[in-house]
Amino acid sequence: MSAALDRSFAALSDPTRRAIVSRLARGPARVTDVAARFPMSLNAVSKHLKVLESAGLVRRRRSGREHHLELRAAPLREISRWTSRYERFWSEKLDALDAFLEEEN
Amino acid sequence: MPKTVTTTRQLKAPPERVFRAWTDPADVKRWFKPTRLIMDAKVDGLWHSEVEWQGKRWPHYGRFTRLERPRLFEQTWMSEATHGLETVVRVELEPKGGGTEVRLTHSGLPDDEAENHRKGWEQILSSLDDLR
Repeated sequence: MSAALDRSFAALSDPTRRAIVSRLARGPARVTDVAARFPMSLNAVSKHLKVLESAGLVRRRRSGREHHLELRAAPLREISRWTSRYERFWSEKLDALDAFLEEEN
Repeated sequence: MPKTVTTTRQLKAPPERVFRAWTDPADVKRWFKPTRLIMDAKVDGLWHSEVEWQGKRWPHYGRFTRLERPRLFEQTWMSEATHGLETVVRVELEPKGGGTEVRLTHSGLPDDEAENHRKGWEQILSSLDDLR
């Protein structure tokens, strides 16, 4: 029990991993789409995803050649209390900015 | 202890476009979706925006303190959530891979999360206690 909690908290102690969780909170996504949002290599994002998966926060599903990611709700219900209001606010606003600039192209 | 929140994001648009999206009121209305916006985007220019967020109305007030097109801008930021403290939002736009790496730093936030953390830990510790 406490080992699982330790893993959850360690997994969420990184801003990139929190941003991944924040994205997946809006719905499942493809690995490549999640990775494209961060200024780092696919390999670096994959390492973050492995940490989230081994903490049981994120589940990966394969359909054909595509890998989809989704959140596992149960551990997150407890953990949602710890995320800061402004971190969520800015993450949502930057998503909106991203969508706005994408639409323009 | 004041608290800082940092968020980074990779966008496909170049810094000049991203800078305009943040500082041109016509653009800001389209993505930030304020219900009310007043904005004078120059150093010492004042701004006000109201947003609906999580079912609540949030009026914000502040002043631009730095505008270094297209790489950086900074504004003060006050709302109910800052408990009247003058917090600072700094946005740095770094050209990267044909697009922009956005780094947003919101500093000087009141540490009311500390209270949430404490309550959360108490809850966890008491649930561990229940296991005995």
